[in-house]
Amino acid sequence: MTTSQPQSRSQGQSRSRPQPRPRPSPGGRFDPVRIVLLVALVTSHGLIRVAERYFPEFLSALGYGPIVTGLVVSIGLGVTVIITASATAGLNSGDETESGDRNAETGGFPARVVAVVSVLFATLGLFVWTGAPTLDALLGTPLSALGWLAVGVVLLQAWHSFGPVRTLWPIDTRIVGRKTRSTRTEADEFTPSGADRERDARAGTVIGALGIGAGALIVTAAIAIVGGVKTGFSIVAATGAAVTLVAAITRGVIGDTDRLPLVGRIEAPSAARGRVPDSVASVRRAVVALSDRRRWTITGDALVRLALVGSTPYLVLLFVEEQPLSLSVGGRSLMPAAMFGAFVLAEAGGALLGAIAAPRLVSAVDRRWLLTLGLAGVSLVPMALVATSSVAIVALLFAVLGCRTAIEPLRPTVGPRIRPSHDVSPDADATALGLPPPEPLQTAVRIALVPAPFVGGLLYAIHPVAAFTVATTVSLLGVRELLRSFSFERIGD
Amino acid sequence: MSHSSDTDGTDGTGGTGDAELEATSGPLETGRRLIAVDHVRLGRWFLVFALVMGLWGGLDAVLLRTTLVTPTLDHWSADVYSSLFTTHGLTMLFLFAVPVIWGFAYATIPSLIRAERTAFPALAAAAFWLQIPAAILVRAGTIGSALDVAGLDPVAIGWTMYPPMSVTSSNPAVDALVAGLLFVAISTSLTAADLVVTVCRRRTIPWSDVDTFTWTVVTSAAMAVVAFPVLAGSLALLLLERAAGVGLLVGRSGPMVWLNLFWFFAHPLVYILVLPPMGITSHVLPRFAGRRLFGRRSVVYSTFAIGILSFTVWGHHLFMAGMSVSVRAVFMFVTLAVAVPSSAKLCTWLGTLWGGAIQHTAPMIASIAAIAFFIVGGVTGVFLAVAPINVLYNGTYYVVAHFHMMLVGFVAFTLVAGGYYWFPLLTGRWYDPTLAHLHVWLTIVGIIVTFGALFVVGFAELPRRIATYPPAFAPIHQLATVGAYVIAVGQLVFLLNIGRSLWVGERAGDDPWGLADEPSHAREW
Ligand code: HEM
Ligand SMILES: [Cu+2]
Repeated sequence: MTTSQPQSRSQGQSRSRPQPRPRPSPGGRFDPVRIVLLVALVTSHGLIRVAERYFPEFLSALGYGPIVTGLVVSIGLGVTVIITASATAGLNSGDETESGDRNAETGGFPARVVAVVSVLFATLGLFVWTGAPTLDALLGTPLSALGWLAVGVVLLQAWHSFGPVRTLWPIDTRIVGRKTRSTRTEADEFTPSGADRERDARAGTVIGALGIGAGALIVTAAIAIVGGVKTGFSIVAATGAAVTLVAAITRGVIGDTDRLPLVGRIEAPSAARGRVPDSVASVRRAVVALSDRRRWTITGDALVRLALVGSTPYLVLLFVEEQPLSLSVGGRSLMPAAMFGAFVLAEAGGALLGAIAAPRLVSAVDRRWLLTLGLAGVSLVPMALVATSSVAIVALLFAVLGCRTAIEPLRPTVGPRIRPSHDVSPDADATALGLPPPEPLQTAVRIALVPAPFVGGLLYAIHPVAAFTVATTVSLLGVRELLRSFSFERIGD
Repeated sequence: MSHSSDTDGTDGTGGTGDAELEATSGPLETGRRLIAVDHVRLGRWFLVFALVMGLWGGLDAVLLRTTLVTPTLDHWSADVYSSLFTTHGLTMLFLFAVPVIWGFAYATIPSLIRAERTAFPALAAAAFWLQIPAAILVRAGTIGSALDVAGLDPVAIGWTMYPPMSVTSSNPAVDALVAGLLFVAISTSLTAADLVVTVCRRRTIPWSDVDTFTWTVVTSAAMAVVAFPVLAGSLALLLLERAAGVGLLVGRSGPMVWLNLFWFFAHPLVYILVLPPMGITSHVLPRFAGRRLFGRRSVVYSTFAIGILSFTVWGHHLFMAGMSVSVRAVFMFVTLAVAVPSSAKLCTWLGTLWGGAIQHTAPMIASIAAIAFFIVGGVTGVFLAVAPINVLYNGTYYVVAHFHMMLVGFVAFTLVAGGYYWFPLLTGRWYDPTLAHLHVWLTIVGIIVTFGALFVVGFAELPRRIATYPPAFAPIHQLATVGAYVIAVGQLVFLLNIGRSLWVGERAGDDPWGLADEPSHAREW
C-alpha cells in the first residue's frame, strides 16, 4: 500500500522543464489526511470503549449472567498485563529504577507496522464480536457465542496495549499500555506541542472524551432506531470494525514519509512500564523504600481505581435491567438501553468540563485537598446511582463521574507522569502527588486490578446493590488512606 | 445565420460557437439562448447532479447492508428492505451512472474532437433540467414517507419492475416512479442524440483521429438512442396498464412481454454504462504508462462489436423463465461472443501496462484496480452465461456479486479514475494526492471485502432479494456490511478532497499532467 507521490516521475520520463503534478498539501496540523486519520482513530476509540461499556448487556441479552461477564472482562485485563509485560520482557534489565526511554524502542518493528497491526487486531476483534452469536454455525466450531466474545476481547487487547490512541481518556477504568516519555502516540501528535506533557495529557483527555461522546451518540442512535441491544450492539461493533479498518488503511497510506514528520513513531510500551515484578520481594522492597505519605497516597488512589474498575461494567446492567430508566421527549421515547448511551454521553461531557477546569483548579486549590475531595466525590457515585431513579439525577451523577478528569493529573496511578523538570526529592512538595509509583509497585497495582471486574460480577450476582455498595466502601477506604497522609504531613517532613 | 444554427452544424469547421447563439433572434431563439450553456459547464452540472444522486443511492446501500447485519428481520419490515434495493438500483443506474457518463462526455468531447460546441446546446440543457423533476418523481416514495405524506410509501417492486407486482401495487409512488423513469428515458434519449450528432457533425478532425474515449461515448450514445426509447415505450405501457388496464402486461403472457421488453433495453444498458468507462481506461492508462495505447485500432472495433452484440443477448436474463433449448443455446452463444471483444479490450490494457513506466497517480491506481475487478466480473459473467450454471445461480447472491464487480468495481471505479484525471480540467484546481490515494485504497479494500463476501454467500447459493437468511451466513453478511461502510467512508474522503480543493486547492495550469511532449498527449487540455 505504499504510495509514491505523483510528482516522482519514473526515470526515462524526465524532462528538463518542471513537471506539473498535484503536489501534496503542506503537512502540518491541518493536513487533511492527518485529520482523517485522527477522526478515524478517535471514532474507533469511542466506539470500542462504548461497546465495552455495553458488552455486559449484550452478554445478558445472549443469556449470560454477571459472573461470566466479570470473568471475561477480567480475562481481558489480564491479557493486557501479560502482553505489555511480555512484549518487552526481553528488554528488561531487571533493575527497579525507572529505566527511562532507552528501552522504549519498538523491538525492531517499524512504527507504522505496529500501528497498523494493532488497529487491525481491533478490526478483527470487533468483527468477531459482531459475528459471535453465529460464528459457530458458519465454521462448525464449538466455541459458543461466549467463547467467540472472549476471543474478541483478547484480540482487542492489542488495541489497548499497543494501539496508537490507547492513552486517550479514560485510562483509569482499564489497563492500557503506557506511552513512554520520549516517544509519543499519534493522538498526541495532534496536540500543539510535545514539550508540555501536562497539556498533552489534557489534550488526550479532551480528544478521548470527544471520541467517547461520538461513540455514545452512535450507540444511542443505533439502539433507538433498531429498538434492541442485541442488534444495536452488532451494528456498533460492525461500525467499529469498519472505522478501525479505515484507520489502518489511512495509517498505511500515509506511510513514513517525511512530509508528515509529526506522525508516526508508535512505540511499544517501554520496558519499564509493563514489566512483571521479578518477585514479590521486589514489590515489597519498593514499598518499603517509599515514604509513608507517598505509600498512602498511592494506596488510596489505587483503591478508588479498583472500585471503579470493578463496578463500571455493571452500570449498564443496572440501568437497563435492574432500574430501567427511559425518557420520552415529544412523543418519542428513548428506551432504557438507548438511555444508557445518553448517560455515557453525560459522563463524556463531565470529562470535558473536568479537563478544561483542571489546570485552574490545580493551581488555585490545595492539591492534596483537591485530590482527596475529588476522589471522595467519585467514591460516592456508585451508591448514589443505586439510590436514584430520576433520569436527570442519574445523568448528573454520570457527569460528576466524568469530572474526575479534573483531578487526574494529581492521581499517582493514572496521572500524566509529570516529571518535575528540576530534580526534586519525590516527597518534597505537593507537586509530587501525581508522580508515578516505582515500577514494581505500578505493575502490582495493574495486576491487582485484573480480578476486580470478576469480583464485581460475583457481587452483582448476589445483589446489584451489593456490588455498588462495596465499590463505594472500597473507594472510601482509599480516601481514608489519603486522609492519613494529611495528618502525617503535619508531623513529619 | 438564423435559427439554423442548432440544426445544420454541417460545415465541419466547428461553427462559431456562442457568437452564433447570440446572433439569433425571435422568442424561441431567446428561450434557447436563455437555457443553452457552455458544454464544460453543462458537464459539471451533470457531474454534480450525479454525485448528489450517487450519495443518495449510496445511503440506500448502507442502510440495506445495515438491515442485513442480523439474519432475522428483528426491527425492520421486509418492505423496508425491498424498497431499499429498488431505489438503490434505480438511483445508481439511472440517476448516478448514466449522468456521470454524460457529464464527462460534455466536459471533454467537444475539445477532444475540436468542436467549439455541441450540436444542440439548448436541448442538452433542457434534457439536463428534465432530470431533476425525474429524480424527485423516482424518489417520491422515499421523500413522501420521510415527510409523512399520506399514501406515499417507498416503492418495493424491484429495479426490474416485473409484473404482476408493478401493475398491481396500489402505492401511488409507483406511478410517480414510472413517470419519473419515463422522464429519465426521454432526457437520456435527447442527451444521447445530441452527443451522437455532435460527434458526427461538429467534429473538425478526421474519424481516424478520433480518440478511444470519444469512440466509446459515441457508441454508447448511439445504443442509448435505440435502447432508451424502448424503455420509454415500455414504461408508458406500464403506466397505461396501471391506469387503464390495457391487459398487455397482465395475465399469463404479460410478465413475459415485460421481461423481453425490459431486458431488450436493460442488457444494452449495462453496456451503455460499461463502454465509456472502458474508454476512460483506454484514455488514462497510456497517460501514466508513458506510451501510446497498445492496439488502438482493435479498441475501436471491439467497441463496435460490443455495441452491436449487446442488443442480441437479452435472453440470458430469461433462462429461468422457460425457454426452449435451442433458443437458450443461441442466447448462450451470443452472450459468450460478447466476451470476445471484451477480452480484446483487456489485452490492449494489459499490453499498454506491460513494460510501461507506470506512475502511481490516483487515477492510475484506480484504473489498474478497475481492470482487476473487470477481470473478476467478466470471468464470473462468463460462467453465468452458461445456461445450466445460470439456472443454479440466477436467484442467488452470485449474480449480485457479479454485476457489482462490474458496476462498482469497474464502472464506478473507472469513473473515479476519470474524475481525478480530469479534475484539473473540471475545477481548474488540483486535488490533494494523498487524500486521493486514501480514497482509492479505501474503495479498493472495501470492494474486495464487500463483494468477495457476496461471492462467498453466492457460491453457497444463498437467495438474493430477501432480507432474512440462515444464521450461519451472518458473519459473511456482516463482513460485507463492514466492507460497505469502508467504501462509504472512502467516498466521504472523496467529498472532503473535492471540498478542500475547491476551497484551498492549488491552481492547475493548462497542461496539468505535463503531457504536451508525451506520446500520449490528448486534445482536451
Ligand atoms: C463478460 C461480460 C458479461 C457477461 C458474460 C455477463 C453475463 C451475465 C448474465 C448471464 C447475467 C444473468 C444473471 C441472471 O440470471 O439474472 C448477468 C446479470 C447481470 N449483469 Fe452481467 N455479464 C457481463 C458483463 C456485465 C457488465 C459489464 C455489467 C454492467 C456494467 C453487467 C451487469 C449485470 C447486471 C446488472 C446483472 C443483473 C441483473 C439482475 O438484476 O437480474 N454484466 N450478467
Ligand atoms: Cu445481461
